[in-house]
Amino acid sequence: MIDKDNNMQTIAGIDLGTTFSSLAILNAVGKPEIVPNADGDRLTPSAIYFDEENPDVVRVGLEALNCRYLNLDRSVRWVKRHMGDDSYKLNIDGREWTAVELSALILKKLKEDCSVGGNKINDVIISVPAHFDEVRRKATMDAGTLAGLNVIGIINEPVAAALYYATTSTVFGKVLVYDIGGGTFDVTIMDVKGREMNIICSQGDHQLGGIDFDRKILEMLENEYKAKFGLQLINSNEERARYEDEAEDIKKTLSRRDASRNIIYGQAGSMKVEITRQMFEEAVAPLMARIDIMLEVALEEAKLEPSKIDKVLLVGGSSRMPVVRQRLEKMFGFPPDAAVNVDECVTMGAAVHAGLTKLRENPETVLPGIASGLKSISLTDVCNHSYGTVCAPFNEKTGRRVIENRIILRKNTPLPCQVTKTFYTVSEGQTDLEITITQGEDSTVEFVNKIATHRLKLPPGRPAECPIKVTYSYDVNQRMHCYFEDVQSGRSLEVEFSMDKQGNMKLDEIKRKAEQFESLKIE
Amino acid sequence: MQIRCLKDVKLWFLRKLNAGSLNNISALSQLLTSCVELTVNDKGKELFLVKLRGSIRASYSLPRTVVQIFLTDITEGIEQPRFVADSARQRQGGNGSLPVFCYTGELGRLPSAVTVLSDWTTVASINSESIVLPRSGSRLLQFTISVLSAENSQRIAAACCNFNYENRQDGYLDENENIERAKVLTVTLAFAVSAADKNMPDCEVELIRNWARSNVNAFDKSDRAKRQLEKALNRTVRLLQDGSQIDIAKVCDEIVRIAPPGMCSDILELCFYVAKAKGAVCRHELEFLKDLSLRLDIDSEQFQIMTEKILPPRLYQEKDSKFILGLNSDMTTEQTRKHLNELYRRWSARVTNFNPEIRTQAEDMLNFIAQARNEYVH
Repeated sequence: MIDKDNNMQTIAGIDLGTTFSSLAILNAVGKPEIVPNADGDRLTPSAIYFDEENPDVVRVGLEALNCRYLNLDRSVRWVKRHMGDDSYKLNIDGREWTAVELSALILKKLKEDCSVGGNKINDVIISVPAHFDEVRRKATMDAGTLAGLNVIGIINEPVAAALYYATTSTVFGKVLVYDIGGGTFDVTIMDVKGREMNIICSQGDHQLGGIDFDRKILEMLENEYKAKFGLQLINSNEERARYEDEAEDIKKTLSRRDASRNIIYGQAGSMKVEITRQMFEEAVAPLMARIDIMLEVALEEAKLEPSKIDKVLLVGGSSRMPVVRQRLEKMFGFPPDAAVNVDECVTMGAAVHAGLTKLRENPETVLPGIASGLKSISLTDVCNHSYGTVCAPFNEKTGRRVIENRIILRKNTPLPCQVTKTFYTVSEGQTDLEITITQGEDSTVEFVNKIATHRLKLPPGRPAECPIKVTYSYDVNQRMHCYFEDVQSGRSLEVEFSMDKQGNMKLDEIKRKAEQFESLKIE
Repeated sequence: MQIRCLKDVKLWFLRKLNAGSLNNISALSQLLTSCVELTVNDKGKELFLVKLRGSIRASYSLPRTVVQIFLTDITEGIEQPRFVADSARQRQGGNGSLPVFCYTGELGRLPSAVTVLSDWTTVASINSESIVLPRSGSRLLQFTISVLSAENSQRIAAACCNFNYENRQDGYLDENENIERAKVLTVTLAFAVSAADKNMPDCEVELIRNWARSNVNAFDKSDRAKRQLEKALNRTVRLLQDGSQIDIAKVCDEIVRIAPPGMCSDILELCFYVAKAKGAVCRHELEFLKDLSLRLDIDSEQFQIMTEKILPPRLYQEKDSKFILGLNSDMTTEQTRKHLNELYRRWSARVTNFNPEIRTQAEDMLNFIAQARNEYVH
C-alpha cells in the first residue's frame, strides 16, 4: 500500500525482547524479512541511555548499551520485566519514566531505523511472552501506540516462532516450542498439520531467562573472589554492570567450550578464574529444575506424555546453552530442533501474524502478493489465562456464605470461545450487584487479579436467589467481552476488554503522550 | 424488618396480621378448626402436615386464596412466646439477624362463597428443616393459619392449634449460648498457641485480648462484664506464664461439639494471626497449628489456603523447603515430583498478582519448589 506521501505502508512484526528487540516486515510475496537497524545490526539491544550532555536525545540500542558505564543511573535495561508494574518509575532529570514509556522508546527506535529504508511502518503486531497477563499485554500495546505505531494485535512469542517455523518447514504432529529468551521462559505445545496450527496450551515464567543464568555466573565470580581475598568483588553499580557483561560473555563461551578462563579485577587485586561448564551447570541446576517442572506441567495440561511429542523447537538466545539441549534430549528421547534462527524467528512469526490479521480484518488493504504468500495459513490460539467472577455461594460444610472466585472461561480454551454460567442474588431485596471480573486460576479471591469492577442496579422488592446470567467470550483478536444479565428484569451490563482500547484505560493520556513522543529525538 | 428480640417479633406479628388484632383471628377461627400431624416422607424428611376443617366464608364469590402460617414456640407459656426462625432465609441473609418463619402457599379458588371442609384437609406441608426453634427438646408449637385473598391479602378465615414437638436440633438460643461458650474456648486456644513456643510475646497476648474484648460477651457492654473479662484474661495469661498446661484435646473436642461449623475455621484463623503477630513463626508453632486444624476438623485444603494467606514462607524461622512445601519422607520420588508440579502450577499463576506481597511470596515459593525438585527428584 502507498500512503499520501508515496511511502510504502508496510506490515510489520516486532519482537520487543528483554535484552534484544527486532523488527521484520513482509516482503512482496508475504515472506518476513528482518530490517537491520541504523547500525546495520539485525538485533537492537533493548537498552536506553539518557545522555547527560545532550538531554534532548535519548540513545537506544548498542550505543546505549556501551554508554551505560558513563552513568548507570541514566541507563535502563531489562525493562520488559517491569512491564505492567505501576510502581516501577525511572527518574531522569525530574521526569518519571514508566516501563510503558521506556518500551515505547525502544519501539520508536525500531520504527525510525526501519523508515530509513523507505518502509513506513504503520500496522504492527508485537510479540509478548505467552504468560503475560492482560495488564502486561495492554501495557505492551500502549507502548506501541506511544511510539506512533498502529498496533493491530499481539502474539505470544512461542506461537510466533512456531508460526514462522511451520511456514518455512513441513511439520506434522505435536510440537513443543521451548522459548527461553533474555528475561522470560515460555513453553507452548501445539498440534501442527502443515500450515494449520492449533495451540494446545502455554506455560511461562516471567522471572526466568538468560539474565538469571548470567547472575549465577556473577555469584560464582563474587564467591571465588571473596574466597581468595576475603573482600567483595563488586563495590559499585558501575562494577556490577561491568561484571554483568563479563558474566554474559562467560555464559556464551561456555556454550561453545568446556571452560572459560578470565581475569577479574577487584579492590584487593586481580585473580584468574576458571569456570567450567560442569561448575556452571551445577550452579544453574535450580533454574533448570524450574524449567523441567514447567515442561512437565505443560505436558500434563496438554494430557501428553513426552513420547507423544514429535518435535521440540528451540527459540531464544539462551537455548544455545548445551545444558538446555542435553536435558531436552534426555526428556524427549531426540534432539531438539534449532532449524530456524532462534533470535529472529519470533520477529518473523509476528510479521506473518500481522499479515494474517490484516488479511482477516481488512483484506483489501493487503497487496495481492502478500495475500497469496499467506494463503492457507491457519492458526487457532487459546485463552492464555482463566477468567472468572467473584461470587458468594453457600457452603454446606461451614454453614455460611464464602466469597470465592469462580472461573468462567478456562485457560487454554481454543479461541474463539464463549461460556455462560448462571449465578444467583444473595439476599432478599437486593438492588445492587457488584460485578468483578477476575483473571487467575485460584478460587481464593486474594490470589487472583481483579481486572474490572462494575455495578448492576437490580429492581427492588425481589426475593433472594434471582438468576444472573454471566457470559464471557474471547475472540480471535484477543478481545474479551463480558455480559451480565438479570434474567427476570432483562437488565444487563456489558464490559469489553479490547487490546486496543480497554474501556477507560487512559486512552486520552496515551494520545497526549504519543504526541510528545513524536517530537522526541532518538538515536 | 429485621427481628432481633422478642419485642420485635410481637410488633412484626401484629403488622403481618394486618387486621391489627388477634381477636380477629379468634372470631374467624370459630368457623374453622385446624390440626397438625407429623409425618416422614419417603426421603426421610420430617413434615408438619397442617390441616383445616370447617367453613371458610368469603365476602365475595370465588376468590383466589393463599394460606399463610406462622409458628410460635409457647413452651414457656403463651405469655412468653418465642418466635420460630426461617432456616432458609437465615442462610440467605447471612447478617446475623434471624428472619421469622412464615409459610405462604397457594390454596386455589374457593368453590363458592361459603366453602365447607367437612373432612380434615391438608393445606400445607412444612419441612421441619425449614424452621429453627428456640431450643432443642420437647417444644410446644402454636400454628396460626390464615386463609387470605390472593388479590388483596384480606383475611378470610383463620385457625390456631398447638402441637407438641420433640426438637432434635439445637435451637437458636442454644446456638447463641454455644457460640458464647465457644468464644471463651477460642481465647483459651489462642493463648495456647501463644504459649506453644514457651514464650508469650506481648504482641500476641494483646492481639488475643483485643479479640476477646470485641467478641466475648459482646451483648453485655456493662463495666462489670468488662472487668470480669479482663480479670479472666489476666488470670489465664498468668497461669500459662507460670507453666500451666491447657488440655488442647479437650478444648478442641468441646469446640467441635458445640460451635457452628464455620466457627472452627474462624478460630483457627485467629490462631494463625496469633502465630503471625511477632513477625516470625517457628516450626513448632506451625506443627501446633496443623495439629489444631486436625482437631478442629478443618480439611487439609482449607488449612493450606489459610497457611498461604496468613503465614507466607518469609515468616518462617527455619527455611526448610521440605517442610514449607509439605514434603515428607514417606513420599516416593514420583509422588514428590507430582506434588511439586501441582504446587508449581498453583504458585506460577500467582506470580503476576497485583499485590506485591503475594508476588514476592509466589517467587519465594517457586524458588523453594525448584530447590526441592533439584534435591529430591532426579
